[in-house]
Amino acid sequence: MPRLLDIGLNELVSITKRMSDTAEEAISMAVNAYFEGKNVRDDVYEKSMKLKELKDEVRDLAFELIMKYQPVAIDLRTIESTLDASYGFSRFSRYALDIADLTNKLGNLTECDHTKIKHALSIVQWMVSKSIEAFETKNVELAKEVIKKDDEIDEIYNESLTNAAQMGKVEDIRCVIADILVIRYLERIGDHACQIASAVGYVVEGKYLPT
Amino acid sequence: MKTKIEIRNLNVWFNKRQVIYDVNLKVPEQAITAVIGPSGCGKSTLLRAINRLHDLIPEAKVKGEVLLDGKDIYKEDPLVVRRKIGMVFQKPVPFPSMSIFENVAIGVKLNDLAKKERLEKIVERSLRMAALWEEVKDILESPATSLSVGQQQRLTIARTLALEPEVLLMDEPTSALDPVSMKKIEELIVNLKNDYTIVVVTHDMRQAARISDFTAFMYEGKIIEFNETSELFRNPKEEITEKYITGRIS
Repeated sequence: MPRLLDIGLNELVSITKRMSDTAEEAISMAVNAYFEGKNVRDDVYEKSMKLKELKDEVRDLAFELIMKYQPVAIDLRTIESTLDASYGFSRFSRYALDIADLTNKLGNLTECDHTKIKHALSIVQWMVSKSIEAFETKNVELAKEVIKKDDEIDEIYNESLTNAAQMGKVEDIRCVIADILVIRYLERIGDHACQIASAVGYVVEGKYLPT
Repeated sequence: MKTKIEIRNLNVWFNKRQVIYDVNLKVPEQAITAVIGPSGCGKSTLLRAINRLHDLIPEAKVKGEVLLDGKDIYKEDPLVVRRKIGMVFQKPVPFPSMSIFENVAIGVKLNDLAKKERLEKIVERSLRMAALWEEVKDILESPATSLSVGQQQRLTIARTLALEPEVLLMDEPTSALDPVSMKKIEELIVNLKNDYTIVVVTHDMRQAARISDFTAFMYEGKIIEFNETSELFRNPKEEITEKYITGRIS
């Protein structure tokens, strides 16, 4: 017979899954629209609000489970790390919204060279998707790979700053600003993916993986 | 933390049936150590071995050492041992024919440990420590059985404290009580640790988590894991501990 607590924990997992799906959609939507010069701010905002609602649902359910069942050990760690992850997912959408805002604020940027952003995006999307996979499957090794990948995105961000500082005359300053900002937002998304990956260590082994 | 009681290679049998296997445990001084585990795992048997209650059972055999401040209690006078190591049982057992005062004083009187004036002070002090004084100070001559069950349990704690023990052993001290009385006893136990070393056997894991500093998990007569309570309940090292405390085995 399943424990009553398991019914609640399964519900937590289900909400978290909805959050991760919504967060991934928000990032893809924002970045693709940026490349294509489309304004999707309202759509991303909607997803962001949805994630906020789901984050509140996770928090309410987590506290209800703590109140009702006083969970311990892996049950308690699962609840704690789900709270961590739900915060991370909501932050994904926050940065997706920042990216979507750029087209609004800086105008159409389709003529800019997106090579660096695309490279950064491919790394961050991998980190996001694998951090979610590691969280859902409690895969510590995969979580460690996600955390290792963070150095790459940090390096791209630092490089973009250095390059901008060394630029002489530029054709379109908007491209330089957008380049730095988008990579900065992606770098922050990568940081939150690392936090989610780190929490996998806490669920499985009782210790957060170092980030 | 200083060790108050050290149990070394303790084994207990009832006739030919072994119920405790090679238990080793260091009980820290002035702290609350909880012993948890499923029914029949040997928690109460272990507790009773710590103040030589098995001496009173002919079919019981105890092998190993229980050191109190480094001295083996099995080489001391059992009466002296039981004065130093007091025991509180699951159900309060006041002496029905005695008053509240006499119930607290009886141990001191029997051991001839105090004159009348001092006895009154000891009774008051013990009742105060057991958080019962304010409730009974005007009815000390009333029969102890007139008290509620929760008050009776605090009375038996006061009776134990009157002998000025160094260690308090408690065998499921709240399992017969309502939630309000249980809360009072739990608060009392936590307060008492400033002066005593306390070992509590409890089947209520939440209680162990609430009140104890250290927890030992017993299973089939063995100590499986011993750790700080917060660590044992958050991140147990042994799979069997994890399964038990999360309710996956009973």
